[in-house]
Amino acid sequence: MSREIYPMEEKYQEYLTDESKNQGSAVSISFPESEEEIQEIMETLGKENIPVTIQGSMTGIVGGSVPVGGHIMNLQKMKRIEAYTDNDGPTVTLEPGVSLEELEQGINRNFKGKGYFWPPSPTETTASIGGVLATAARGINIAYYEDTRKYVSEIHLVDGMGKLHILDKSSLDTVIGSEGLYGVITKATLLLEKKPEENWGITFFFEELAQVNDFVNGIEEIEDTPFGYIVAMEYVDRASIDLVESKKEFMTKIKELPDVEPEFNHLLYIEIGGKEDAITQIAEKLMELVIQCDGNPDKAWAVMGEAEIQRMRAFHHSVAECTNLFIEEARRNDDRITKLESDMALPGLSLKECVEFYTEAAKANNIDITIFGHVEGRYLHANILPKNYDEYERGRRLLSFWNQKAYKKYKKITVEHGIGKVKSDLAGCIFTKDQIAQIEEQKRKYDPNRLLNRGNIFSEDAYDKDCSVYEAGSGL
Amino acid sequence: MIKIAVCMKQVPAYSEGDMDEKTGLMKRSGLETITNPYDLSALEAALRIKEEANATVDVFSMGPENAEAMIKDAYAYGVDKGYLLTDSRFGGADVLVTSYTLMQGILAVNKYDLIICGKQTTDGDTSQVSPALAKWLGLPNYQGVIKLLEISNDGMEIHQDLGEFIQVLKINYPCLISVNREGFVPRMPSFKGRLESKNKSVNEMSIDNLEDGDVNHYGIKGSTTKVKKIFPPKRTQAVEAQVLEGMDGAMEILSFLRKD
Ligand SMILES: Cc1cc2nc3c(=O)[nH]c(=O)nc-3n(C[C@H](O)[C@H](O)[C@H](O)COP(=O)(O)OP(=O)(O)OC[C@H]3O[C@@H](n4cnc5c(N)ncnc54)[C@H](O)[C@@H]3O)c2cc1C
Repeated sequence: MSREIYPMEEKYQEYLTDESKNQGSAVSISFPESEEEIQEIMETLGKENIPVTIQGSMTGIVGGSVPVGGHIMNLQKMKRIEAYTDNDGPTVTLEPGVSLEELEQGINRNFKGKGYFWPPSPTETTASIGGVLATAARGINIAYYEDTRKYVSEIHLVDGMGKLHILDKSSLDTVIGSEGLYGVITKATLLLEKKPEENWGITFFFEELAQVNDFVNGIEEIEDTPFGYIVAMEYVDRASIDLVESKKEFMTKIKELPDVEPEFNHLLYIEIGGKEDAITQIAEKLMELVIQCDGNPDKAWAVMGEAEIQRMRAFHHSVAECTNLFIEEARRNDDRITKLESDMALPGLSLKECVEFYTEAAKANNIDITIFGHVEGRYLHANILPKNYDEYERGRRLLSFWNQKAYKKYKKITVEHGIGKVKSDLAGCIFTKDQIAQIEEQKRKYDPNRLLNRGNIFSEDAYDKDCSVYEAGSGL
Repeated sequence: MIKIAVCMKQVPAYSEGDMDEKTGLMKRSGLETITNPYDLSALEAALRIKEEANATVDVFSMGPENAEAMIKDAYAYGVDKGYLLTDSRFGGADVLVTSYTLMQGILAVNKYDLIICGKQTTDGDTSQVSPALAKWLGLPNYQGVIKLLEISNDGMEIHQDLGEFIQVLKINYPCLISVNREGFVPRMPSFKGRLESKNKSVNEMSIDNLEDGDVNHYGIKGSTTKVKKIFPPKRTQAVEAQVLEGMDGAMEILSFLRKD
């Protein structure tokens, strides 16, 4: 065994799981510190036909970095930021283990006062850049900034045989979002953007779903201009608010936020960016709309400036975090329980239809859920909150029911969190034959022995999956 | 009508500001700024009084011109009038001169019943400005206030955290109180207030608007103290934790003790 490869021991236990809470197993682990070392390890393991699971910060929620035997390659020591340039637009070149938080600090330090940032902003700031690229993760500002791929100009990829590929803009799209199937991302050059001159974060509260629905319909009529635009629009239901409030006192960033008054059942957060006058114009339109929808503008919060906006974003992040904490607590009573979260978009539906799609079935099955997420594209997450294994089992069926219904209409049941291992048995249904052929072709090129990230995206029986159950979904 | 003045300061949002080696002053340009979090508690105390009694709330700040944004932000919380003491001749002020300038500004505007300050700032951190201001104004000064009760037009009951015990006092106006963060977690600025603040202006004041127009009493000229050096404390290095049991653990501790 090579010097950098350690046999698995008790002290590496934490590397057997991620935020999906699934448990894996492994025979060995490494913490490489350079691209060359990664190449060396891949070559050694490749010769011995040992499968490799790549790990970033293990914040993924579909089990992508959970090992299925073989070797774990953890990239947490690859933390060098190698270069900052500002000739043809600002860029940062870095190693994959740098976290989003560290990237932001680095940008602020090196481009002091210039107001640059990297737009893809999944709210989990400990996530590594390698992990973000491998899952094409994105955040609250997706409505405006769109796909993560837009903000990458080059990546280095070490394939399953230890060979280095340098991919430029023309060839990196297929690798981003491929969940480590084709190789280890060992370096990346990221394209930065300038932050809006000013931004406002406004939180509206509503008693009735119909009110927030009308409000959203009105907002969707507002047209962005280059000077004023809606950066984010997030919905949070009362169950999510209650969950956060029950745990808020332990969360430093948000513990001082006031409780949401009990009569409010729905929260809508809107972030506006741009120049002051244009932002004010949009805000004035929102004021008119909220009054028309019988909402209460006196009760709405409006913060501005980055520090306060970060606090509001921290609130939205804590919704996801608290759901994960809930699962962690439930697992203490029964470790068969894992995270059950829908990851689908329901475009074309109104916000009300979308929320009711989840709540009606949950109510009928007597299962507690939370609903939150991006309003743009109706990309809301429903999380099952099982108190025991029986509820968990029923929750699984409920999730499957939602998936079937969504599949019937959209042929898609995963948008943001990836497929990982949690949904890998559905790959045969998720992808078209052409897409599968494409993945197979890339796999033959980069990892012919199928050693990398086994179990991600495709499970053994994925191709044989009978999709008829999904096809038969009773439609939306 | 209770006339309240709240003192507020704009501070760097993150603790990455550098000190100018030569002058010993904070380099503030280019850094994102926020309202000193402790002053938002002072504002919260004032707004609670305004909700319970007939009161007006004005805000005073000494700072650069861009601190106007902070005062506009205060309008979004429900402040009536904001005054910004801004003049290049105010630059480099120490505690003594800052409190003197605030006193001059406050006296130039109104005869306030109650002055409310936050416990400290996150950049200067001295906790000395509010007692010094009370001294200049010749007012009784109550520090560490955590609760306000029985608010009336003449005075109120306050709970003061004195460390070992809580002191309950009945106080009369005029006076100055300085509040702790715990009792006065700030509310969120309102959307309606923020939009309305767009049409409200900030009243700027320079030395020329103050009764004492002697430039030698302000800014770096009037300051009697000079900061020699500010430096961040040395960070301790991250070390990997080891879990050792029984004899192994005991031996490790023993060898560690022997090393010293
Ligand atoms: C509270 C919470 C909130 C979240 N919010 C969001 C959100 O807003 N948006 C969003 O999209 N996701 C979100 N996530 C999911 C997660 O944070 C992202 O998927 C993130 O990109 C994972 O990064 P990581 O470094 O933790 O990757 P890991 O979990 O370690 O790995 C994820 C996948 O990427 C692969 N991988 C990691 N590094 C590399 C590399 N260098 N080369 C090749 N493959 C690699 C792994 O093998 C695995 O398949 C959230 C998670 C949590 C816990």
